Amino acid sequence: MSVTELQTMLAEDWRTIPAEEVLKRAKRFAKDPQRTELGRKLKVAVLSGFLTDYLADILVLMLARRGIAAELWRGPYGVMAGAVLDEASALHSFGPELVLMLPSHRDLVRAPLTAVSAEEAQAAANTEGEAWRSLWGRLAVPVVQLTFDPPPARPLGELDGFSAGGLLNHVRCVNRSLAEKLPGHVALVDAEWLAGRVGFERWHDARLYDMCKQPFAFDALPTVADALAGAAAGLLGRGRKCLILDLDNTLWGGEVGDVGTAGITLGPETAEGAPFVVFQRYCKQLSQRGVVLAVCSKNSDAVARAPFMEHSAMVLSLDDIACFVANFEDKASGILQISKGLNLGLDAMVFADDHPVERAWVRKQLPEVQVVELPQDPAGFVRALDDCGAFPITRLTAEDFDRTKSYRLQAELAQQQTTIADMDDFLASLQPRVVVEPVTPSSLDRIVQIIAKTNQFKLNAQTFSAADIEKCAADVLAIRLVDKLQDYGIVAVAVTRPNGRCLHIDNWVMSCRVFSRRLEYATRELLARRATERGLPSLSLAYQPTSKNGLIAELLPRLGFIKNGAGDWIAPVDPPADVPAHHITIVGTQ
Amino acid sequence: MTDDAIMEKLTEVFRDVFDDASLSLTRATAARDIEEWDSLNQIRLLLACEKKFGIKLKPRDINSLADIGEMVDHLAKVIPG
Repeated sequence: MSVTELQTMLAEDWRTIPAEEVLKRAKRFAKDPQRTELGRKLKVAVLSGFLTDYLADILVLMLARRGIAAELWRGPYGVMAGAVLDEASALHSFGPELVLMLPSHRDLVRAPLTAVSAEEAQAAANTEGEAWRSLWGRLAVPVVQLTFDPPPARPLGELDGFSAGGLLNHVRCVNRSLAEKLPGHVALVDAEWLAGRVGFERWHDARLYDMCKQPFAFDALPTVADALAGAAAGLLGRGRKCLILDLDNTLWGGEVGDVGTAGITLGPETAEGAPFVVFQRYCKQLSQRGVVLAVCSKNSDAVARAPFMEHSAMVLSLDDIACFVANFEDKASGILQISKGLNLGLDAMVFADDHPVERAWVRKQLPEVQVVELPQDPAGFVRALDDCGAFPITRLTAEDFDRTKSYRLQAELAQQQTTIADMDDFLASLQPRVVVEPVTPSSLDRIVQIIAKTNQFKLNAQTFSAADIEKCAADVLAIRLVDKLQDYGIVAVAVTRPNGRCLHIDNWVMSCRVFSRRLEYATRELLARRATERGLPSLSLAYQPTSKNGLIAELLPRLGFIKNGAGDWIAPVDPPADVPAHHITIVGTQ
Repeated sequence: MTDDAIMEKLTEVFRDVFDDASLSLTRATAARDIEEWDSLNQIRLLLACEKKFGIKLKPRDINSLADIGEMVDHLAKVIPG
């Protein structure tokens, strides 16, 4: 099969076709050797308490939808702890780069007796959680952990989920315990929610379990596989970042260009207007947790903005929109404009539009953009967007809450830059400062996250776990940028170590939000200071080109780095004479 | 339902499960004749037959059948009317 044909198998439509069809498609896909061209190769191990033979192919398909070309290894069902603890096990010799741990409620070993006290029940749940945490500790690679699912029956009836002796209560306490002390390399998939999503009838297929130890009905497999793949993508920093919204009949009913702001259908009072309020509220919540919102509308700019400013039922305000494109060009061009304005790649974009023709056009012109299949009835919009799982999240950092504001300013700056003649005056006018942040429990998550999520300004593919960063804390350079507009948080990180006469930079990343701010020059200055403090006369680094980090190749010579015969890039501590002034004040170095 | 009608529907089930539009069955066809006919696909066949014919089957009954001929006979007994 050609790569294009394989790509069509990854289409959005899997929710609308029977599970048996998805399974068939997945079998064809998984068998095709060409499929590894469609994403980053990754060795994925599956440890489970149940049979995963039917799940396996669909899992490969769903991972491929997220850009992960999985080489799958599955342990025999029922063997989880043993495979992890035994360092000579087949799991370890496989050398996984990602581990999926899939237990069920049957794997709980400390289920309480009916008459147990609340304290004893809580202690049992904590001990149970501790056992899993210790397994995570043995795995140095990212782990996707399915939480324990609600059992099919409740001997204690309505009390089962709440009283100390209930198994459902135990399940909930253990899950809560897993979530409370979650290390950075682990992402949870919420089995209780997932069971509800696929429906109890399909989650618990007792007959199939008796036949072959698969607990779910076939109909549940695609949704289960998709949830696992989503968590994996989030953990590996492959989630999308920006939601591009159409306006007419997507955020409100009717065409504002024809009926005016007062004439659009929007508001909780009517059955027609209510779903748009609900959809806007959902988009707003996405924005509040770090998804960047943009608008792409075929209207004049003034007409498109009017409802945001004048309609009392609007939930979204112009402040929530990082980049607002309203003109009469085709939507693919609009999306490209947004991509440029926000400095985000097309593979970070999700497009939501009620109009099937617009969706088809964008899908054809920009296949990297994920296009949400919105149903005809706006009452289904939220569900369609939520189901598409494009924005997986594994933890929240303070920067996530502030991201839209930051991207909006970036888009405004991009606009200003074209009008301000003197770049130096402009940069200086922002009064930027950098602060070198020590590695602390509060900065650790962000440091790990930015290294994992950055694609463009990144020397090489090496990532670091939270434990790695803690180990070399003194050699980590984490940089916070603040200017008169805002605090951007930690936006650049370099991981260094002394190596002979060089300060060697293992990896160096910078968020695309702060491109064109000359922060790379300020960072270079900090690296030089650090080398000098340690009596090292040179800097060195390992740059490996990828499809996305080409800008580094142009930058390195400007920073004074020269490639030596061994393929390493070396620079003297002092920068070249012609580096541009960065206008950034350095405060509070370590 | 006649044996021929059962055979026709059964062929559709097999083609679907094994994703092979050219697959054909005779009364003599058995598990050894179809490469991918293993215990896991056997379960898929059972569930697909249940859906196709609107019946419930017992895994034990199905597992003890020697070939397609016996399967057709068994289905003829189980299918109502």
